[in-house]
Amino acid sequence: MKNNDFTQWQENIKSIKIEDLNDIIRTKIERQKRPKLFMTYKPYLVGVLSTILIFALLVNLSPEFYVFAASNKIIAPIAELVKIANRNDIQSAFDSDYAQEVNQKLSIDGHDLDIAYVISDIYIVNLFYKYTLNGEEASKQPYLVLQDQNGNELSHTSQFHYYEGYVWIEFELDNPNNFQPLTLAIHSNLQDVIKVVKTVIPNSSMRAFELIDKNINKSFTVNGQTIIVDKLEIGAFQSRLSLHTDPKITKTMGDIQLKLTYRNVEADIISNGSVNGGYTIQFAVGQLQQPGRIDIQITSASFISNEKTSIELNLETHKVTGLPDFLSIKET
Amino acid sequence: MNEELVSKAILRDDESLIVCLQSISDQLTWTAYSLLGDTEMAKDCIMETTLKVYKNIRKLNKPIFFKTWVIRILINECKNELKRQKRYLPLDEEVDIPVSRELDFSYVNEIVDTLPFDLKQIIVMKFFDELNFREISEVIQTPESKVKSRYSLALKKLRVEMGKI
Repeated sequence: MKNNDFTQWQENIKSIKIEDLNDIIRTKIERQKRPKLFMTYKPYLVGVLSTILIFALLVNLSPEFYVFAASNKIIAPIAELVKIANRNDIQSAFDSDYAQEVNQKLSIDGHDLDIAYVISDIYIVNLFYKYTLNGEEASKQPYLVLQDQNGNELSHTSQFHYYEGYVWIEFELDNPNNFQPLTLAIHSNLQDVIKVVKTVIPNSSMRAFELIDKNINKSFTVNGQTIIVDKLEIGAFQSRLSLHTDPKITKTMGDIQLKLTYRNVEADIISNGSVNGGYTIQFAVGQLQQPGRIDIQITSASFISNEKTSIELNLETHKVTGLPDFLSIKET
Repeated sequence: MNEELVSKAILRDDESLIVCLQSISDQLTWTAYSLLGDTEMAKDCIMETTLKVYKNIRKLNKPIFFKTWVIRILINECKNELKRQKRYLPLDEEVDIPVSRELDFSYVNEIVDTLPFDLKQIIVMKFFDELNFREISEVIQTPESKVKSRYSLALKKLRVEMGKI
């Protein structure tokens, strides 16, 4: 064996250098850093994001949950952060001295309601209060009923929100506001005994925005049937579009769907159905939001044939006649 | 090898890992080159090794074994590369060495190249990585006695082949 040759071969191999290998090693590792961090924390990130997503959904979809979250000092800032489309109209109402002070208290069976303000318009009554149950902030809101002075219930639709430390309940009035003093009743159901206490809430028209009433009177033909849009009424918080179907139409309109575009935001609105042949479609855009331009487009309307208006059931033969085409009866 | 640095690398300190790998980059180059005979291929295998080391560093139990562990990964990479190129010689295979060659040290390279991979890797680790038999046995997961006998066999084959020149 020629040891000299072998040594020379070794030295030759040891003289070989891969250019910039140290830089290559560094680059190779540094390029992996970001995915590594992501992969390491991926399960935590997914968990945190899922929690935030669920929390955001609950805050935006459940007014009760939002009120609960917003009344908790720790999670309130997060609730405010993830709340989409916070209403700026209430802020405008306060800024323009539209809020009436109430300063009334309702107490029953540990429920304590401290009513601070009322803001009302022709369609809506907003109440702002603080509520405790047995001296502590409660996660669930009490059962409140808005009545007139004669004890008639004025609203069957209400929503809870949260505003500047107050719980804000938004009552949608069944009939236009007559600006007479209101009564707020709180129901306590303790040991299956329902007790009610009431207080009077001011509801002055002096602090009400005048309703803007725009006549439209335009007719549209949908599926061969004529729909006439009568007018648009714009309240402080809400607007209502009134329409009716042409009496000569051969079918009865079941549902009408509109697309509302306001400040580049689109919303689909479905009517609540007909009242005495007329339809009223309401949407939460009012004067206090300074709407500027509102585009309303009729996107669909369903019609039911007028031909068969009744269904007959023969009690002897158990036969049914007069069913519309889309309906059938199945024997079980 | 600085064990403290390796310990940091195991705990996901990337900078420490980079320094550890850079400190043995020459040995990695010599190992890969002497097994593959090509700097580009050697570079590719070292890059692949770097990636595997980075991904699996937490599996390294004892910092003292860092170098042998990295070399084991590199040798496997080289072995796979040779297999891909159908240049891998198993232990029981003999290759004829061309008779005519230039009478300088470069013929040693060709002779080493004709050694079966299992013998060649021991020569490479002994001469370029400066590993002892115990460390080589760690790298190739073979008993130390077998490593020694293969090393003797490799040298014998080299002597025989070089004696023919």
